[in-house]
Amino acid sequence: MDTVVVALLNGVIYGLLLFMISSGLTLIFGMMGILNFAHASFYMLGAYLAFTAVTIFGFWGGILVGTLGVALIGFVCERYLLRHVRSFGHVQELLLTFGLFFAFEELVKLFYGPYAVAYSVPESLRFAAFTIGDASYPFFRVLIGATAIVMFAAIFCLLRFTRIGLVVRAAVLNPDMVRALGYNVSAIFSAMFAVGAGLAGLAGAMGGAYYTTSPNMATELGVIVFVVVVVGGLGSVGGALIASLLIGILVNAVVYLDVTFGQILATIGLVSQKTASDLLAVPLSSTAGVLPFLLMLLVLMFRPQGIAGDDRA
Amino acid sequence: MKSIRLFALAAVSALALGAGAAKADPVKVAYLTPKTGPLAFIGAMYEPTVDFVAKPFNAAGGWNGNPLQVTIYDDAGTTQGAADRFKQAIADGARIFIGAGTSPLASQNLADVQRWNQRNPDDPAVLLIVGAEGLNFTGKDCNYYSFRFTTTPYIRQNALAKVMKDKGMLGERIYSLQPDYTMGREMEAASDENAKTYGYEVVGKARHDVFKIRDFSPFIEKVRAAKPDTVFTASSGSDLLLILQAASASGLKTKFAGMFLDEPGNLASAGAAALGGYSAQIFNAEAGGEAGEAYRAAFNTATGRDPVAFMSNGLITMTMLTSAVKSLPAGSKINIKQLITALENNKVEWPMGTLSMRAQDHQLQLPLVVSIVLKDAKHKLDGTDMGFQPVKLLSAEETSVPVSAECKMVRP
Repeated sequence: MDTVVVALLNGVIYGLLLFMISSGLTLIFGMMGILNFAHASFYMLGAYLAFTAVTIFGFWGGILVGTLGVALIGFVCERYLLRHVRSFGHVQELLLTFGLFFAFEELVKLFYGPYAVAYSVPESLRFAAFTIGDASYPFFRVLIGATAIVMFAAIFCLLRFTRIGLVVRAAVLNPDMVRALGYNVSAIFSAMFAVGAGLAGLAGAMGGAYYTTSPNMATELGVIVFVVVVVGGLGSVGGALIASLLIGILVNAVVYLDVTFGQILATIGLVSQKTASDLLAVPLSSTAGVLPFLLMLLVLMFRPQGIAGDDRA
Repeated sequence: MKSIRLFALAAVSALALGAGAAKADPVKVAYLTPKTGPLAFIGAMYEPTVDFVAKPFNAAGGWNGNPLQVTIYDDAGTTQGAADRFKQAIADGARIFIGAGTSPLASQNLADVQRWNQRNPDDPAVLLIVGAEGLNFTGKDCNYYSFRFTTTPYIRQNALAKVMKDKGMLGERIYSLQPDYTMGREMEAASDENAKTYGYEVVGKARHDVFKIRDFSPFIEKVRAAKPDTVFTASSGSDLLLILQAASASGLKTKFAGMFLDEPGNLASAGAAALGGYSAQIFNAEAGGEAGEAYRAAFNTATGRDPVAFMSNGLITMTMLTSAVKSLPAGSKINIKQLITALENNKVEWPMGTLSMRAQDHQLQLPLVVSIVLKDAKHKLDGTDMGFQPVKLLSAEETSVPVSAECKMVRP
C-alpha cells in the first residue's frame, strides 16, 4: 500500500514538473503558434543563470534571476529575431529556433565547460516533508509541485478572467482585428513570449537544482515538452496539465509493474511461452522513456486535437 | 637574435643529417574523439592526456629522432562523423588510430580499420580503443589490428564484488539497476554470473532508458521494496547523478557500486548524495603510494586537474603506445605489424602496477582500485569536500577475467 501511495505521489509530482516546463510552451507554441524548438534551452538557461546568481543573491535570489533573466532573453529573441521571420511562415521559425537551440548549448559549454555544474538544493531546504513507510518524501519535491500548481492557477486565471487575458486570446485568434481596435499586437506577442520563456526559466532554476544542471539538459528534455503540448491539446493550459500528470503517472506506474513484454503477449496468446521468456523478455520498465511518445502517437491517431484542444488546430 | 636562432636551427639539422639519422618524419597518430555535440565532454576529458604523454616522449627524442605527432580529429559524437574523420586521417597519412569515444563510435572505427586493412593488406592500420567497454571488442569482434585499453563491465563488476566481499561490505542481497544498452546488460549479466562466486543473491533487476529519465524516484522505490544490501549500476553521467540524488532524497540507505562516479563534475553535482558510493577506478593517487602521488601532482600541474575516470585510460593508451613505439627498430616508417607485436609483448610500469596487453584477445590487463566516496579522503575532487578513498588495490592478475570464448582472432 505504501509503495502504491509513494508511486502515485511520485507520478503526480513528476507530472507537475513536466507541466512547469511545458506550460510556457503551451503559451508560445499552443497559443501563439510559434514552433519554438529552443524552449528546452530556456529551461537550461534558467538553471545556469540561477546557478551563477546563487553565489551573489542566495538561493531564492538565484531563482528570481533565473526566471527574469530568461524572460529577458526570450523577449530579445522574439523582438529581434523571431519577429523578422514570422511573416515567412513556420518553417523559418522552426529553423531559427533550432539554430538557437544549438547556439545556446554551445554557449553554455563555452562558459561553464562540458561537465555538470555544482548547482543543488541548499542544505536548509534538504529535509523530509513527511514519511510514508520507509520512504521519506523530500520537501523540495513538494515545493516543485506546489509551484507548478500556483503557476497553473495564475496562467489560467490571467487568461480566463482578466482583461489582459481577453486581449491576448483575441490577439492570437485574430491579430488584424485586434490591431484595428488599437491594441499593440506586437507588444502583446513579445510579452507573451517573454512570459513563456520566463516560466521555462523558473522551471529550470528549480528543476536544475533538484535534478542536475549540465549542458545536456536541454537535449534530454528537448522533445518531451512538445509531447505534453500536443497530447494536452494546442493552446490549452488545462490540457497541458492533464497531459503532464498522465505522463508522470504512466511512466511511474510502468516502472513498478514487474512484467515483461513477452509475458503480456503470451497472456493474450500472441506468442508462445518460449519466445516470451527469451526473445521478448524485455521488462516493461525499460520503456519508461519511450512511453510519452507512444502516448503522443495514440493521441494523434485517435484524437488529433489533443485531450483538451479545440478543433481550431 | 633571429639570425642566431636560424643559425642554431641550421646547425642542429645539419648535425642530425650528419649523424646519418633518418629524416625527422613524424609518426602520425590520429586521435578520433567527440569535441563538439552532446558528447563533447568525452573529448574534453581525453584532450589533456595526449600532450601530457607525447610532449616528454618527443622531448626525449621520440622514435629515434622522429616525433610522435598526435592529431585530434573531432568526430562530433556521430558514427558518420567518425567515418568521415577516419578517411580524412588516412588521407593525412595516419595509420595509427586512437578511438576515444563511446562503444558505437569505436564500432565504427573498428569497421573502418577492418575495411581499410582488407583493401590495403600491405599498408595496414591499427586501432587503439581507449574507453569503449562493450564486451564485443574483445569478444566476437576481437581483431588482430585492434586493442582495448579499458575494462569490460565483467572486469569491473568482478573487482567491485571481490573487494566488497573481502571487506564484508557486499551483503547477500544485490540489486542490479542498469542503463538499457550493451554496457548495462553486460553488467547485469556479470552480476548474475558472479552470484555464486561471491555468495550473494540478485534480488531484483531493472533497466532504465539512457539520458531520457529525469525522475528516478520510481526506480528507487522499486529498489527499496527489494531490500538489497548493495546496488550495482553501470549508469554514468547525469543518469548516475539523478539515481544517487533520488536515493539520498528519499532516505534510501543502500550502498551503490559502479564505475563512473569519478567522471569530472559528478561529485560536485551529486553533492552529499555521492557519499558512501563505491567505484572501481583505473587510477587513484593515494592507492599508488609515492608514485601515484607524484603522477597526480605532475598531471595536475600540467593540466590543472587530477586524472580521473577515462582520463586515466587516455594516459594508459598513450603511455603504452609510446613505449611500444620506442622499442621498435629505427627506420623511415613504423611497421604496423612490428608495432602490434611490440604492444603485445610490452610490459609498462604504471603507478598502480604493471600494465600489459593480452595477446589472445588484445584486452588490457590492468590493476584496479576499488574506492569509496568519503569526506576524509586525501584528495578532494571538483572543489568539493569529498574524494575517493581507496579500499583496496587489485593487481592486474586479480582483476583479470578469462578470454571470451567468442574471440577467434585471425593472425596474418
